[in-house]
Amino acid sequence: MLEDLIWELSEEFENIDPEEDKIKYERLRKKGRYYTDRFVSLFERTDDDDLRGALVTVLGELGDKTAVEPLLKVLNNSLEDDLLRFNSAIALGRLGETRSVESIIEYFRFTEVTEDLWEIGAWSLMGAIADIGGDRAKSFLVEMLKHNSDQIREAASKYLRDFQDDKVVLSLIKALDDSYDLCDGVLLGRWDT
Amino acid sequence: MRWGAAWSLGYIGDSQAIEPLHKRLEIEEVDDVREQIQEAIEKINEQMRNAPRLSISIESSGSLCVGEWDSLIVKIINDGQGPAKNVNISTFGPLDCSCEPISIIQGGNSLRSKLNVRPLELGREVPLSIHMTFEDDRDRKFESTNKILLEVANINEVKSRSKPSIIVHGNYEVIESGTR
Repeated sequence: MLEDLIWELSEEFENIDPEEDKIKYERLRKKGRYYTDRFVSLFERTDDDDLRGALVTVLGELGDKTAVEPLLKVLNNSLEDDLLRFNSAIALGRLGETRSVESIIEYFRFTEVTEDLWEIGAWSLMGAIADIGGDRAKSFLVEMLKHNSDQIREAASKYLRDFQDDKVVLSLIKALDDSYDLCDGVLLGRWDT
Repeated sequence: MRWGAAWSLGYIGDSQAIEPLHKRLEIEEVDDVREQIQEAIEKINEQMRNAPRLSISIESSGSLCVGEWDSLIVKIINDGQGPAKNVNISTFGPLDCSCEPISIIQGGNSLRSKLNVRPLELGREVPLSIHMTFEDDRDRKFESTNKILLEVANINEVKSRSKPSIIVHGNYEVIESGTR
């Protein structure tokens, strides 16, 4: 019964656009929040990786901070499945707890050296870091403006828009002289709005 | 990343980006980036037009006396278009001072507030730094500091004087509103 609900919520959350269907989205969250404690408890004790994957999605969307610790535990464990760690990082970004930033940054650096095609995933990780915000997130994104990957620099320049201070403005002004002009169409699509 | 940098600078709306954006536009060869730079410049200009712009006048009813509480009337003028929120004035100098915070001054409006001061030092030019902070409607914080020089007399001198004087530096305008 509980598992059915997890699968149902997970699928719904993956397919819904919260901006376009706010009422339905909030209804789903309300429905799920009632079971948060049980979801967290199941997440900590189950060995079923598929179910844990679904739970990561659900816990990230429900926004309950009690999920931060178990998600951090997964993210910080290098023996865990890599996709599960990645999704935990994204979920932690949605939960917005400042203490998660360092772990996501660490995971970002880990994927940077271990994955062949890490850039697209890196965008999402940078987005998670930006969503959480704070000084550490800001300094990380400013640092990424000097990354050797064109697309990472591009992502950093865009995520920095939410950090409005002199340091950021001066870094972005400097970035106007970057040799790389535009990211490719696929990545650009997410910024059209 | 030039496109992204221009995009973010336009969103942030900081006026110090205007000149570098214009400079970049002069040499930029990629059409999409040029377009984004132009858009950023327009956005920043629009935000500058809508930003609050505050200035202060200080009115005194006479010379200040050392060790005596008195009040200066601070007139804050917002001649920008947007509202200034959470306006706070604090002072630094050899005097005790208190001022009530102001929650909002709409664009095009002005407001008077009382600055209670008690000079701790005698002198013809006692320095007082006035620090003002406020926010615009996007919660961006602004601040400015200016220095004024106050004439602080002892009580006997003040009683014998017919016309008070306050010497001012910086951007502040002082309106002398009579004698006491």
